Amino acid sequence: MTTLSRISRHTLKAGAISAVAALALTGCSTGAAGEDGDVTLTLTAWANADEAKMYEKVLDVFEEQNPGVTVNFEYTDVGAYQDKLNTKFAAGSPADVMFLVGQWLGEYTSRGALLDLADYADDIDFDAMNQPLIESQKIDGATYAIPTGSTAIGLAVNTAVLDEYGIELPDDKSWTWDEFGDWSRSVTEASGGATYGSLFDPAWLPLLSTYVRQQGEDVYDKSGELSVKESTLKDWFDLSMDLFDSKAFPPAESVDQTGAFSPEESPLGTKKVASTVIPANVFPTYSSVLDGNATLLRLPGDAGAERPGIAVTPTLVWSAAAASKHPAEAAKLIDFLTNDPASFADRGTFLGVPINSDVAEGLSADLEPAEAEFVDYVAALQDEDRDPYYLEPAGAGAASQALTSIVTEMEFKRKTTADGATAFITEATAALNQAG
Amino acid sequence: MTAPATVLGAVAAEAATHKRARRGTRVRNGSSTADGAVAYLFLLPWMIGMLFTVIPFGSSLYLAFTDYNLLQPAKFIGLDNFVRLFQDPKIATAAGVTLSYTFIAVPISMAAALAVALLLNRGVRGLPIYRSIFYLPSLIGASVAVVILWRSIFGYDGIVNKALAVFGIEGPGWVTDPDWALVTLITLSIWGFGGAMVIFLAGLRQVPRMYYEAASVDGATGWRQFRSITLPLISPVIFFNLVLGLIGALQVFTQGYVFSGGTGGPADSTLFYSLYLYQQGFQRFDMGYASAMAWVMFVVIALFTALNFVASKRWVFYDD
Repeated sequence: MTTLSRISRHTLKAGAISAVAALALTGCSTGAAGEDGDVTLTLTAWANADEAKMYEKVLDVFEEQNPGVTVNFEYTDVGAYQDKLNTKFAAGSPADVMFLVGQWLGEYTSRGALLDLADYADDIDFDAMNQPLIESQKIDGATYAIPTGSTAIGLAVNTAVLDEYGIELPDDKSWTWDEFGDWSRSVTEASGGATYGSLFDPAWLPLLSTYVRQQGEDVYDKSGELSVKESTLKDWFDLSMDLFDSKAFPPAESVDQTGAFSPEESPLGTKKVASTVIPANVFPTYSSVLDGNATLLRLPGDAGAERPGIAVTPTLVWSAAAASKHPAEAAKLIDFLTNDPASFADRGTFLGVPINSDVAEGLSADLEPAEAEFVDYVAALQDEDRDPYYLEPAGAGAASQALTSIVTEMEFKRKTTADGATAFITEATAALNQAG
Repeated sequence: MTAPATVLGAVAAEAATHKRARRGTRVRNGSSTADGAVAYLFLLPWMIGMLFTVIPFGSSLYLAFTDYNLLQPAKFIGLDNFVRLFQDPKIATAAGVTLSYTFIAVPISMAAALAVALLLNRGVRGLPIYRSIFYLPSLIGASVAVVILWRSIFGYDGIVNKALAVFGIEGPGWVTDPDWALVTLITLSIWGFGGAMVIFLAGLRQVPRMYYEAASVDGATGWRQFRSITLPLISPVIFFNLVLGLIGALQVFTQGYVFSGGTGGPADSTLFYSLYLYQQGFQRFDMGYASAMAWVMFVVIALFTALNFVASKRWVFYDD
């Protein structure tokens, strides 16, 4: 009897404690609408600490223009960004406005996670934007994404290292992949291995697409099917692995692909390599890390190719969550970020060349030399006759992840390039089927 | 496995085994029911906590039979997820990684824990200090900060390779090479042997000294004493550490996730089963499949544990 009453008293105590705890926890929920119609929006992006300050300044301007609206800026490092975004969607509390990588857009739109911004044409000035770019983002006639800006991939080169070892800059309008290999090897030899010639990730989709286009194909065709040939993939892998093996690139063991590098920690920033492939919109950041001793070159292989490979693409896209509690304000924020010159004052061309041509022109007067080099790079590409960009299908992001794994295996000689090409075709097809 | 849970579990297990041991005695005295009541008292918070998890468990079981992408309502698809699970080549990869990790890390950890516990049991001066030093890694080992630190220490240009270079050895890419990444994580796990060591120490201290004295008088060597006195008498503790160690290692997630940036490491070499589950659920938005994976994992771990308990009848000796 004493035991029983002892247990029931303890149960009572435990029950009381948990009840109090539960009540306390409910008080911790975040409410979106405060008092008197005050609106709080959440914007997510990836950023390091300095970039976060830049975004905050931009958002302060928006808050001044729109009294009653507060924007919370949430950021993570680039490696964890996609996961964090997915988890927020899964938890039912997605950010109101976010930027996305084009490859992953399909995964969200195929599940109805994003807002059709065309419904908010009152709040967003679509006419002022680059029309072909906007059209390229449409999925089934709906506008789920607005490009943050235009960019293209390029080769960032450390000119100080080249001067130190007496290496000439190549003619980037005419060089071939073989010449690129020779040039990179010459840097490694001249420096005695202290600095390698170059480095890139063969699995990076924009880079792979460039090579594939130069061979006259596309990785994914307009209808969303995988259309690259296995032999083309094998050639690309052979090219890349040879660059590793012949010491044009640093050894595979030393290349740490996971973990987000700030430009200072990157192989180019730490002078481990003399050049690397980047999305050209981050060129100004690298340039400042290298004290201005940097230049932007075109990738090899365009001259004499079936089609030009380098393409002008959206850097990233702004989207709003379909579950957003304040869709009109979210749309206003996207309009601000795209069409309002005031939103570019602090960030310049960080997210690409603005797709509103008036804004782009207005910016050109105040650009720093590296930013101007970036804008000229993209403008020159746009003046040439290149095929317009179109969206990757849903599942492309997952296919890219599989490709990273396959490329690692090839780098460490656990797979031949032929097997790697076959494996990618299999895994990419499976990824497209699972997502679509 | 959090430290408080381990300690709580240890106390509860001790009380429960005491109760089991006395079940065979004819004389039922008041102390046996009292011991049983104490055991249940310690287990009570856990039982109440379990009540909160009933609904999530039930939902997860239901979702295992659906196609659920988190953003749209769940669609019932019967056994499709399980059929797909047994045909998925990545499941085999993930199971391989998890099992190799478990069956290498757990035995080595336990051997190290027992060895150090034996050393400390000889009456070392400053025992509490040594115990704390060895115990600390097991508290922080699975934390994000330590995994990142481990990654940086074992990086290609990190301290370990620099130290090896002093001896003229060119270290591999501990972190970037698919052949070595899992080894690096196993090393991290073994580094955290302190938790098991503390429990072994407690178990060793309960072995009455007179057994050793009597054995020495009979001329038994140290090794014979260890084999015939120590091991049998601490077998309940070994069993406890083994069961918990296996359960913990089979479910490891944080280390794999942080080490590989959520990708499963260089070429899927650190793709633990729980990490693959996370990828399917939160990166592919395929919660139905992830739920099915979770329940298969539950069944497998339950089977392992049941096997352990059945086998324990042969080698675990309680104080009868």
